[in-house]
Amino acid sequence: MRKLRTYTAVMLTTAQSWLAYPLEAFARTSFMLVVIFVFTQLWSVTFRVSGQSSIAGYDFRRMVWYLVFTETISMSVTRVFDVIDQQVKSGELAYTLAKPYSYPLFHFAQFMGGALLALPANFLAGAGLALLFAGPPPTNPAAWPVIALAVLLAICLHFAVGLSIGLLAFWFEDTNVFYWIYQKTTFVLGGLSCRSASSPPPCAPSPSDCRSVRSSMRRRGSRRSSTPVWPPARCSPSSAGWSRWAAWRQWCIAAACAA
Amino acid sequence: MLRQLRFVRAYVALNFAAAMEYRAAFISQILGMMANNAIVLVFWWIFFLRFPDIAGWRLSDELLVWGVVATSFGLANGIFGNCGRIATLIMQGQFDYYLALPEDALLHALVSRMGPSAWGDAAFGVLAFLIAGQLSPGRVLLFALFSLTGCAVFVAYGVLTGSLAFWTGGAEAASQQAGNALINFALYPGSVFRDWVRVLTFTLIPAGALSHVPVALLRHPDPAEVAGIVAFAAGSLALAVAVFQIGLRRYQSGNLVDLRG
Repeated sequence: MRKLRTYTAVMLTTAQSWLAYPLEAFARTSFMLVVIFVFTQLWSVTFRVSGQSSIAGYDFRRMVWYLVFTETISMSVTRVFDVIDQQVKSGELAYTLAKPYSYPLFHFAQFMGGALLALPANFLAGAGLALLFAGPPPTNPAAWPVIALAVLLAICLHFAVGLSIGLLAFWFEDTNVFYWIYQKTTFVLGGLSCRSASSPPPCAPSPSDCRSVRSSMRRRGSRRSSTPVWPPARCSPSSAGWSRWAAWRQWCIAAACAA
Repeated sequence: MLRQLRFVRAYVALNFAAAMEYRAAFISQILGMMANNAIVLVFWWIFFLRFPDIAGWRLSDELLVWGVVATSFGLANGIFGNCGRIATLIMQGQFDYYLALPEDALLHALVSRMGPSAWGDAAFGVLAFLIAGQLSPGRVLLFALFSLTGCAVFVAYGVLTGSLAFWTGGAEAASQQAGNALINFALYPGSVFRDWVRVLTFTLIPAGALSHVPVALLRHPDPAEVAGIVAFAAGSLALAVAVFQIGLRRYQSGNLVDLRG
């Protein structure tokens, strides 16, 4: 319990130091606006000139909100590898190891102190632009806690990778190269800039959701509703695929965090 | 002018010699940056495979964009490595050192650092230009010219946004994000920006003069527009120097004791 208080104090101190320079914090958030704006322009032109209303199952609104979430994660995390790299090179690591706390957990607390402040700020900035250009998020309200959990796991995974890259400084003179490759790989293959083949189908419901929708439609009989409860076309076998994909991805994230 | 060029050349040679002290790190940074840029180009390759024409913009145009922007950025940060750190130098009072010496303080500060990975950007930019194809002596000359004007725009923009620190104090993040915004706008197809955004790309975020117009001119050269880009780059540099000189009157020494190797 005392250890938890220690790390909480480290996290709060980091958060306070971020808040000490509100203009700096605002400038960091402003870049989120730039990125979402540029992506919005790119995809609006792409949708218009291609004449398609949906690309890989994503319409313009879904695409913009998808980018808001991925960019929020990417922009709210600090370059933890840089700090660790410097500490290893300067020898400060030896001094830090003698202190009565876990070295990785100390950095994790610092990392989370910054990330938990930046996450809502970046999300609000991106969401504001997305609302303006694309409309409200096409998400079931019940999904928000799951999204929050997924975002939290993603930033934990990012920390684990950053820590590992930073510690490569024991063997390599410069660890920037590894970080660049990791960053750009997540950009292209991780579906940061557009949905990749490894991503789930958009807003696919679970099989139980489909069953409940079908039964509610049966109860309504043949009456046609002007506001569909759930697009029946989405209640397809892909739901099972999505569940398997989600389970596999969560397992990978949990395994990576544990490692 | 000639003396200043000799000064810059001497500093670049010194910076290279210093970087080569850690040869493995220097080479790995260059190769790593080239790989880093290549991965982003994979995104564009996939994108243009799916959508071959974005309002008149094709994969070869995107390669030209990368050619011009990466080479300009590489030259700016390889030769004038402190162009993105002016705000930091002002905030930390590090201009004391440069002000005490006979050489122009701004030029001296700019060239006294080299970003080793920037040479990876420059090499990648040239490679992207070569891959884009349709090589001719005129086009190569234009590419070289636009790389220089792009370098001037990068340096001027860095000095301008960094000089904000003379008035606001903490402009480090603002300057850094402005630089990121410039790169971000410059690397996307120019055809996606219209109306007031297009105006923005020639004023607050000069990505239009940095890459969009040069790429259009590489396709269809027009002497008047080429002269316009050169004038824009020269004007940006003159404005940046003037703003820096005005701001320098407000500079406060940090009384910093610093050892320089």
